[in-house]
Amino acid sequence: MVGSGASGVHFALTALQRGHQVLLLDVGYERPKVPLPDATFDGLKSGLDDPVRYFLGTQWDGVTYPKGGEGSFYQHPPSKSYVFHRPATFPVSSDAINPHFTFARGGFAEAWTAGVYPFTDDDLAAFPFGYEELRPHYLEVARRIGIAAEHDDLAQFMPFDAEYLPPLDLDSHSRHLLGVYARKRMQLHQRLGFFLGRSRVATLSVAYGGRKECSSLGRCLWGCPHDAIYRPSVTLAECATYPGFTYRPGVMVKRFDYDVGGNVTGFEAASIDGKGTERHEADVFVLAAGGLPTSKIYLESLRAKTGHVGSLPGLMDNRQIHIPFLTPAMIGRDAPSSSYQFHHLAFGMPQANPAHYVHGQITTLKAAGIHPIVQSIPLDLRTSLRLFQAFRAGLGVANINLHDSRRSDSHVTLQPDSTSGLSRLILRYASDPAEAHLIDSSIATVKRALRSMGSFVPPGMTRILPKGWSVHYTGTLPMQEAEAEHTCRPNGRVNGFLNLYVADGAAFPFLPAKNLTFTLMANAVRIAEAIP
Amino acid sequence: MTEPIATELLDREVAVFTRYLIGTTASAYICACYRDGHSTIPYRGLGTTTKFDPMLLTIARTGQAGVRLADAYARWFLPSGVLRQKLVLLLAILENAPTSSAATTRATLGSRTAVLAKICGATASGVAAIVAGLLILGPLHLVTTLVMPKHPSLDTHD
Repeated sequence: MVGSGASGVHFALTALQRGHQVLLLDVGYERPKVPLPDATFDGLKSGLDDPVRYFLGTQWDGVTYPKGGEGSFYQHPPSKSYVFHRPATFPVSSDAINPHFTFARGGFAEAWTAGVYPFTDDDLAAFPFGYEELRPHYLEVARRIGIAAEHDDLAQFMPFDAEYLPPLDLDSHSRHLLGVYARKRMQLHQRLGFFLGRSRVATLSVAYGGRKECSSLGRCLWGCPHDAIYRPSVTLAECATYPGFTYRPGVMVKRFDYDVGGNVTGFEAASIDGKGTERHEADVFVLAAGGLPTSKIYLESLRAKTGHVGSLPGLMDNRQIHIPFLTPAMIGRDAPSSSYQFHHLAFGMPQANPAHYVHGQITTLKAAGIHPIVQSIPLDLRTSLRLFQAFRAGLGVANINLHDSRRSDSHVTLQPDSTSGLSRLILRYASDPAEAHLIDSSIATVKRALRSMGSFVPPGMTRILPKGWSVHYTGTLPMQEAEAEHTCRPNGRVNGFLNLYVADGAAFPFLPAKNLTFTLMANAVRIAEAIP
Repeated sequence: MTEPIATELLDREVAVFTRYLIGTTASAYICACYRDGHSTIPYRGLGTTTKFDPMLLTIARTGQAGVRLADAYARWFLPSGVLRQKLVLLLAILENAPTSSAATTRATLGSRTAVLAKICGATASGVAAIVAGLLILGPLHLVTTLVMPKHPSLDTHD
């Protein structure tokens, strides 16, 4: 199999538990050593020899310069740059989407914010199975990774039936918002269709599975030194305890070979350091490299065999919108950085079509870099800094996620280069014409809900992020009941192949607004359990 | 341009700008970081400077009043310009350096009334700086843009 992300490691662990031998091929860039693991966020600044280079990077890529109102208010820090490093041997061009790639050990979930929300039957309407079929696999993943959650108003949008851990301690701003919501919830439900609750997060509120609970160091964004925030490398380490498991990092799978009967005979992988290629044979082959790399391996394999460059329609990604807000009631209070930094609260907004449910999370980051926010205040930097300090305890960001659906004009293909021998991955994305209305209505509803809860949204600071930001690339090899070219069977087997499976997001036929990683993991377990 | 002059100018900038932003003296560590970080500042690589950038920078280097005026003006009329890039770089350094982090990132504590009063005062002061910048630097910007025949190189300034 290829890929050590959230899908890959859970597929591998299940296959190992069922007695299979697993060879996992991976580029596998490693997480750098975490400095001063017991230091708090502020303690790092006083304890490190060169804190500025740690927080801003030796190449200074952690500095967010003025861009004229574009982009996010926060970005991944230099300590996570290994997650997003793309080898030069993986060229890409894109149109109307700004994709990110990961070749890290553990994949994108090495840098996620740990939101885990099971899909409902409405979310899964386009899938060839429903919630009941996925449920035991959600339970298994929840048991493996540990999820802190609470039963609340969001349970109507996401089943609450796994063995969850107690919720994390709330920060003071999130506690205030939840308190106001409790007093106004009927009004918010009836007038706005806005429902608030606790985020469900793969972050430990108590020690679990050999991992320590969150100790409120405030280093979430830079990488939890104690793995209280789950990351796939934890499961990869568990896989390594099985004698039937072999991890082969440092290689990039280029393509698979297959015979005329559709029997895949081997993976061809190139050494990432340019020292040649290697071939691996097996009985069953599994693609779990992530939606876009999996698509490339598939297209490259067909091209090598047939000489024809194919195209995979249906590329999807969630639209994300950031709405910064201020809660005046928090002004004058402290904003300690020693707390869990990612979202404590989540919200849901049902739509006329249940599959178009809008999902969001509220982050009250206290330990993120401040210069991206301060520079966006429309006054001189000194005054802006004073205002930021005065507002600090009341600042938050509502992050809205919208669904996406498969369309023929959003597709993935290749552009072969006979000179270099490297095919370029080509992405073309066209937004759903109906999305503009959903963007407008979602922003309006969230702003009204925040106002109802006593918060204020500064004009002109809402950011509709470019497609590609959410890194939820899915839909290019969808699972479906009907047999068709470039699709998968409900069990993940690729149509036209006897022993090739897709276990990642490429096989999703629809992309709900909820964070997809929990379902990626559960689906990978489901597919692994069905492997003969 | 020779390196010693560039270093001298950068040290002058970091001294003036640090006192402007947080009211303290820049440590040797902050100066070293600023010199190092400055080599990757976007305008140097992209060449996206205007005719007015060098003049604004010269005014900013003169002292507290100059940098306040220039910054307030730049926030509206050259928001991605050279001066703003330099100030944002320094702010990023100050928030992470041990001697200046607390002064940069701490929340303002106190009664809500007192903090709201500070907010009102700071906002009024900030708006006044923009108006002053517009009155004083606006005409200079206009003249520079219309009259100066040649785009002066920033190399002679830093």
